[in-house]
Amino acid sequence: MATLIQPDLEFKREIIGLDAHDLSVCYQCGTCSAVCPISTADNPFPRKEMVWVQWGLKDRALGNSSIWMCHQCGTCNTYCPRDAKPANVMAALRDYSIAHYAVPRFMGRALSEPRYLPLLFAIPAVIFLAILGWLGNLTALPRGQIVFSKFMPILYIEVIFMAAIGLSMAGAAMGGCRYWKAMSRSSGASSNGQHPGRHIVSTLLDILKQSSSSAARSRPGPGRLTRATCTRPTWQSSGGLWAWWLRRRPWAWGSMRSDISHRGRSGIL
Amino acid sequence: MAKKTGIYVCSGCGIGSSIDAGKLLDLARAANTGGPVRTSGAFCLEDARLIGRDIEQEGVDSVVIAACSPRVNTDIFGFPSVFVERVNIREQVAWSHPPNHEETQALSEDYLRMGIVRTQKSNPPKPYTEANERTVLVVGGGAAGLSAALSAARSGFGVVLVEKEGALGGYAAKLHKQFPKRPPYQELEDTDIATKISGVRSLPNVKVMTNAQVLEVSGEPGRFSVTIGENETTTQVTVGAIVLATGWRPAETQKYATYGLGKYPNVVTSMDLEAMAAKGMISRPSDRRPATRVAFLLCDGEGDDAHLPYGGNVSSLVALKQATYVRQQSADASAYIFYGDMQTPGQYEYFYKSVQADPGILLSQGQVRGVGEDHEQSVILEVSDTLMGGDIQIALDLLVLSTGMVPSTLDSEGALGLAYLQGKNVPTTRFGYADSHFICFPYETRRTGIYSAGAVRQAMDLAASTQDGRAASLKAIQSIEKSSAGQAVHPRVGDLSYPEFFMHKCTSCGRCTQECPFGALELNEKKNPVLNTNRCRRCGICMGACPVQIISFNDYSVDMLSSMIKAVEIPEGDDEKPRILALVCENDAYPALDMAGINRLQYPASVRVIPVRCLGSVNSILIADAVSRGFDGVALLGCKPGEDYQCHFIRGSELLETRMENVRETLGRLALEPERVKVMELAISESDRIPAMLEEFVGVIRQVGPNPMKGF
Repeated sequence: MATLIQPDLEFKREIIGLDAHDLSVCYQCGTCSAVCPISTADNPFPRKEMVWVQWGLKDRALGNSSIWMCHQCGTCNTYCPRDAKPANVMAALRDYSIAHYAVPRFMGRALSEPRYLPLLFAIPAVIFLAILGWLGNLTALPRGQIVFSKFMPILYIEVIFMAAIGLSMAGAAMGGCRYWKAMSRSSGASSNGQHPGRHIVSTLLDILKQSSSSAARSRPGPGRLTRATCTRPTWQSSGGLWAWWLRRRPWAWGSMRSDISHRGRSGIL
Repeated sequence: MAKKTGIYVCSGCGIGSSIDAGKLLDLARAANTGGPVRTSGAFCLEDARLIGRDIEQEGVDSVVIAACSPRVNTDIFGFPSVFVERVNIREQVAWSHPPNHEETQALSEDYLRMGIVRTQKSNPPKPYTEANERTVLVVGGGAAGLSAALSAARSGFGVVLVEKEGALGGYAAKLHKQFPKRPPYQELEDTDIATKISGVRSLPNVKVMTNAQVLEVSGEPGRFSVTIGENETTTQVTVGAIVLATGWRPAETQKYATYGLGKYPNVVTSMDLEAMAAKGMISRPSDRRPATRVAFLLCDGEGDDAHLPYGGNVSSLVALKQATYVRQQSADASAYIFYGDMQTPGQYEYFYKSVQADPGILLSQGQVRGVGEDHEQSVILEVSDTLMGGDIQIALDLLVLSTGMVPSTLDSEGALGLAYLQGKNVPTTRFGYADSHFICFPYETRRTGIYSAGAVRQAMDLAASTQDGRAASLKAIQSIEKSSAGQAVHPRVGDLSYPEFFMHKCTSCGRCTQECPFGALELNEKKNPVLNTNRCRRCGICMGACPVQIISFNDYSVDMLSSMIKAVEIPEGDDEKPRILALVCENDAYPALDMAGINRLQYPASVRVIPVRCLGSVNSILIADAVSRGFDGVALLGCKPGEDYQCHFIRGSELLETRMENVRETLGRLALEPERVKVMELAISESDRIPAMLEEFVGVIRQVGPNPMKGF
């Protein structure tokens, strides 16, 4: 069944604004997917993301896990015959996603733009200065033996940090849920009849046993990935764990696989 | 007939160390040709003067130069006043066979004998020169026609420009903008057609006839007699050459019914959109509201089975151009382009890139699944095979079909009304484009003196048509100039020979008139062939066709080739020395043989090569002659026939194929094996295939055994 698309040009312009100025000149040759170490035959990454952004298909571009698989090696940028810089577009999409799914939303926005950086530093500084001021430690330092808790009582620190951890965990969970729902919406989570949660356990086991059956490793030829090249950067990247179980992603691509089996053209995908 | 032939044997470039030049000199002296016999270490250096002196002082009327290939040193050995025969003992003997071997020596001796015979069988040329009309007829007043008319007129030729509409300009006058022609190739430009029209109108040597049509063309290059109908009256003009620039038309709209054209008001063609843009408002035909969501479909090209079997780059560029019209009309508008193949050759790549850089223009590959309409009469387009994943639907104010371009030569009997035996139209390919040897001679049609230009020749844009018109006018001028001098125009540029008919023996079978690829021969009231010399390209296909061998050139005839075949010495009773005759097309296969020599590739020394003008000029009697002379096999090396032919004379290789069936039958009747005669395709670039190809054939001949007719 064909989906009615409504290109969102505002979204396209915002992505362009996130240091992806050249995305328009992509002519969909597929070189990026051919050289990308994590692209597979049934997941032509980052080519499909490029066309989604070009066409302003916001839901598809954002409700999609592949952008987190990218370890920003820049190979696509190097080989792109048109200098469309796919890696920059992927980075911009991640940037946009963080801002888009973050809870509270203003935090995501603040984190994705450098100009808010002073503000982000200012918030804890103000809180601490306020406490110190309330304790009267700003005007006169406590006397006697130098003990940190006299300056800032441990209880205060614990309360603030516990609250911050609680808030950030709640934020992460809510953001994760929103992202999850978006992916389900855009790719039809129930299409293969399995709940995505089922994959978390097996993915965690894979990680612990270091025996991933990552689809990326199925690339043939001399460019075939070993676990070392494939996993290490992922571990180091921010959402390592997140990325690992998303890599299972059969629910995400179950429906797409049938869509892209075009006659004739499938060869270049 | 040559009276006094000088023979010159060169021993340079490794010839002397490969064969015994002394024996060749003895052979030359024994031939007793009445002229001097000389040798030199390098005839191409100062010793060339010896040959010149013999011609001037000794009265030598023909020379045989046994040295390098006739394809090199043409300036040094081009003695215009005498017949020059070049015997190729460098590339095709010394460089391609084992040195100081008796078979190599025998090969060089046979070649010298053949060269001497050829000289004796040749006559001096009698050029066909008659005063020519220095006027070019240009049919069609669009971009290509105007450009051809301007170019020919500025070169000092008279021009008659015939346009069927009331005004000049053609489709170019209907365009809003044209593709960028200047760096950085990003901005659309105004068409400059008005300047061209006024330019043509202002030239005194251009006669413009509008509302006019060419009714009939007869005669030949240099003297075409043309009847033009203009406003109920007819005019008769004589012109030297013709430029066919009748352009194109959009493919029939009913072909696009599956895209909703004619059914939904908001589905239009690219020409409709061009008209809207020219008027200044791109709107929905259903309600006149401005169109802000416009999709363009490139619906020509392969894969779109219902339509044209080919795709041009023009429709791609049209879609890009019109997408910018939509965007310039409103900043909120979006343009979508769905293509099978985006073709933006050359500098147009910059235009493509600049169009893409506009965020409001979205492009994707895609195949149309269906076109519908919603309650607001917006078009709903369904596309599959996009790169977006899954089929998509998109709502549109306007769906624009980039319709294909059909050459005007496809439809009618042609805009020229040729009074030729072979038909009124220039012969076309199955797509309707004028047939020509596309790679080597793109502007030529199969009617000498008539050159096609612009979109009638190939789907092309305004800039290309302009250039094309200029190019075709130069070909027309060349045709007038060459035929005035009695020379062939192309591909045998400068050839003074032409076929002559010994009419007493003609049986009026008409085969020559049928087989001539260029319609050079007409039938008179007695059903006898009449040659229009300036239409002729001197390929000799008529000579190959004639069952009673009455067609000859002064320096090329069945008798001459037959005598050359008979000049070869056939060793008898020696199974180790087979003799193979190779009749080789001199356009492609002969240079390939030379290249094999240049690359020092070795091939069997039992092969005797005779260059022929075209395989189509090989009369079947020559094969019978070779077999009865005792040749064990005959190889015919020529170009690829068929739809993607490589033959310089279009149909030569194809005609040979049909003649070969008769030859094989004849061999069967003589109780000879049909394997003894073989046609081989050889392109100019395939010299590396030669050794294996000829060795294989020699192997087959060895297996079949010696020709039993040897010695009879």
